[in-house]
Amino acid sequence: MKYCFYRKYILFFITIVQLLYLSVCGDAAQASESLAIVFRDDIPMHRQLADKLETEITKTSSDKEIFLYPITKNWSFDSQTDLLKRTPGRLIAIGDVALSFCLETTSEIPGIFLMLTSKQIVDRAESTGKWKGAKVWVEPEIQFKVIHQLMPDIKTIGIVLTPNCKECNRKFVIAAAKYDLKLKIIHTEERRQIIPAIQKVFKQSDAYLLLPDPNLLNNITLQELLRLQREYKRPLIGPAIPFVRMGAMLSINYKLEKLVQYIAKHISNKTAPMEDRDKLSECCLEVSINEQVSKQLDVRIKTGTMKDKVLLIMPEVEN
Amino acid sequence: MNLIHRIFSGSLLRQIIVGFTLILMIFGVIQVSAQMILAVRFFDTLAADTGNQQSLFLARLTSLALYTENKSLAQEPLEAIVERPEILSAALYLGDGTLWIKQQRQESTKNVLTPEKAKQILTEIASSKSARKETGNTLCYYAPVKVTNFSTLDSRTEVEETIGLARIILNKDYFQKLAKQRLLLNSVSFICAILIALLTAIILARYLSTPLHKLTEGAERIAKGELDKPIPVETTGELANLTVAFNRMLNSLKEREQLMSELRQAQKMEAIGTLAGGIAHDFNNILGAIFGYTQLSMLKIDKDSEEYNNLSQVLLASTRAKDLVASILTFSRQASTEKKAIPIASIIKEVLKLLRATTPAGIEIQQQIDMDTGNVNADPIQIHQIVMNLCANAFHAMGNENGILKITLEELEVDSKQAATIPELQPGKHILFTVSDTGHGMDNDLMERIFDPFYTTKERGKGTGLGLSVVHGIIAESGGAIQVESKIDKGTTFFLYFPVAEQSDEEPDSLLEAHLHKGSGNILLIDDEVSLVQSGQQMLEYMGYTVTSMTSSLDAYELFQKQPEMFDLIITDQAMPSMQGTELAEKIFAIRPGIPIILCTGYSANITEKSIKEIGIQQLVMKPLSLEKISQSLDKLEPDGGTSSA
Repeated sequence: MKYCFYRKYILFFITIVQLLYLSVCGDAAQASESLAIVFRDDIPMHRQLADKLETEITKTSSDKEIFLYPITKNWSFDSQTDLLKRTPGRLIAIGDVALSFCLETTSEIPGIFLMLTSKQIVDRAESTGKWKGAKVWVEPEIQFKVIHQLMPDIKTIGIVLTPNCKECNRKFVIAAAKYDLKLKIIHTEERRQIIPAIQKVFKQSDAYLLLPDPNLLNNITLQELLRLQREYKRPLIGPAIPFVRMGAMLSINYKLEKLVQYIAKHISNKTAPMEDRDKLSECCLEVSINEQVSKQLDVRIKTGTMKDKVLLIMPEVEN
Repeated sequence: MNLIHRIFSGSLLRQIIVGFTLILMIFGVIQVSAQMILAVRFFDTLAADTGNQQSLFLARLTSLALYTENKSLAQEPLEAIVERPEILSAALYLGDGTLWIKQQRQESTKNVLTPEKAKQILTEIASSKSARKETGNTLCYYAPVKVTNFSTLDSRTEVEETIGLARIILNKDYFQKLAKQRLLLNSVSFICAILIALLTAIILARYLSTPLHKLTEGAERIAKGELDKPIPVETTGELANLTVAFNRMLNSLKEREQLMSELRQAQKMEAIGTLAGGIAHDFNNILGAIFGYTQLSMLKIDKDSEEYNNLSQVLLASTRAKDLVASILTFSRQASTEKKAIPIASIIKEVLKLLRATTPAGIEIQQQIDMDTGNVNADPIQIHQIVMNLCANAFHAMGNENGILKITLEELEVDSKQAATIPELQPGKHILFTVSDTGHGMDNDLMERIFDPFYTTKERGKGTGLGLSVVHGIIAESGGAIQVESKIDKGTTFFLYFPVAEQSDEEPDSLLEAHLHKGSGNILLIDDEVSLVQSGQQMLEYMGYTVTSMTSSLDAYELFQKQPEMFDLIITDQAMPSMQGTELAEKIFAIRPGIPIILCTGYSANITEKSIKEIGIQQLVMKPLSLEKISQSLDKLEPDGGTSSA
């Protein structure tokens, strides 16, 4: 009886040890998962971002095998084959081209995208159910929230939409309504309609929100927007810091370094998932204000609780 | 070489102008050529710059218009650009190559790109900012109208998108016209510069050549003997120095000419003096005979008789003739000069006597001669000269008009205060001799120069210019001083200060009949003039002497050689043929040293008291010999002279 008792006891112990071993082995298998960071080698910022990501992920998940996979704008079939040969367990795509490359190469491998500008590509990636990520620009809802907090006097925001964002209208209106903001939106079909639309919207709004739409981001529209900002003394809200440096009054964007850290933690399963916008904004949001322009426009900004996220910058001065 | 020589030969003016013109022509050809090349290049560059700038300018200005396809936005820039005179037309093409908007001048020909051509150009200039196409007389410039698309995250990542084409057509003729205008302007400016430079060269050459011409004229005048006109110094620098040097040379020549003239005058005077001396010698001989025989005759007749009176008049006339000869000798400077203490008053009186004969009729001579004045240390002849020169000048100053010549002589004591006012005057006893006239007087400039040698206001040949300088020299030699006062049209006064000398032992010759010497002894009398020998022999025999007379010095010497102890005294004439008096004396002294010899002479520049003493001759007696003169000479002989006095 006593032998049997010990025998049962020893078997239980062995089972526990086996379970423990299996669990350890399982972690080890997960830890050895390889991670590929795909980026455009011809864009310095993408390369820098890729390097930072590699560093941060290495810090947080030293067991993961990370390799950088640079591509060019005109990537080839050989590049796809090469990537597949390396059998990455997860992908990180930086920029539109890199995400397109990944989606063309395989739809099986999950991934995280960041610095995306093309809504079509984002939609296509998200529709696979394997890709999540952070767009370059902050979601409109968060933007409206910040605008409401910083500049409570603003009641109407002007937006010009191009065919690139045909369905954005409803989403923007819902988001704005949450913060008691009205939107003045004009849809344009052709390029020649953009400037007149901008002029019209600017005239009828308290502020203008410039969307990260390639059709809108050129020197001509920017010059006109800056002219209108000065003429009507109404803030131009740019999509990113560079536009603030060029003369827009402010931009609401994610801070890249923080975003990189957030992604690294996400990969190591230490933080909330990528789709948790509150946590993302809490972590990485940054409001850049061109102090000189805000003074010129005489716009009252209430930094309040967002004081730690406000970055006051001066406009670019050409040497 | 001949051609170059021919071009550059001629006057200095021509050489300068030709040289200057050649340099300017060469410089002009280089300048115009360079200007042509540079003007063409400059306006080519200007056209290219204008075309590039205007096309780029148009592209930039109209990018918004093209972006929004709003022609009204493009109209204004297009019109502004076409307003420029060098631009014929400006146009904008869309990205698909179709003409969107165009602005052109009325005179401009229609020139529109086809869409294919426009697209081709757009492709060509996609990589560059602008392109140039040239067709005929027009220059076409193109610039792409671009839109710069920004990356969202990085403003440095820009992608340019060409949305159209800006086209500018320039008028090539406009720039060629500008080039021609500039060339014309430069040419005109250059021609003006050449003309100004030529004018400057001519003025400069004239400036240089005119003084040279004047120098040449001056040289020609000198060659003709016209030395009175110096060349005016009208320039500065080297030419002025040359002119001054030339004038100095002119002055030197003038002075030399004057000196030559003075030399000729002096030579003439010397010749006249020699002539006068010769005449005086002969005249003295004649006078000697007249004197001798007249006096001998007078000794033999009754003093109250009419004959005695007549002979006295002959003697008086002879005495005046003797004085006249003496004056002629002094005037001709053939008299010997021997400084000694002399009674100046009597000498002045004698000269004035002589002057009376030559004084112009209208001039009155007033004299205040103090005969008690002392002696002065001078040669009587020099005193003669002084009085003669000063009086002659006074006569000249008064000319033919009436006037007064005032001559005073007085003794005075010069104190140190007075001495300080007159140069060279020393304190002490002086005899003041003044000569004043009522002539035209002198100004200060003239007074400063009157003592200069050879300076004269008289006409050429009438004055030596030595008179006052001789006077000054004599006064200075005597230790005295001279002062002049003169006023224009009032007259001139010369003040001559002679220091008083010790009393003279000599007594002046007198015409008064003196106590005649009486003695005895043998006298050898030698003179080549028979009449003089005879009269002299009679006069000596009258005094008690035994006389052996000879008319040949050689015969006399022979006689003395044979009988040297026979004679107690020898009286010999100086000027004799074969052997002169001094030579004879030397030979006689060689035979018999110490024998008394009296030398008689009418004149001699070389015979002086000093020179005869050196030989050993005891006395010098001036001819003509009178009874009194012989008597006085014998009186003066030393007691051991061989003759015995009564």
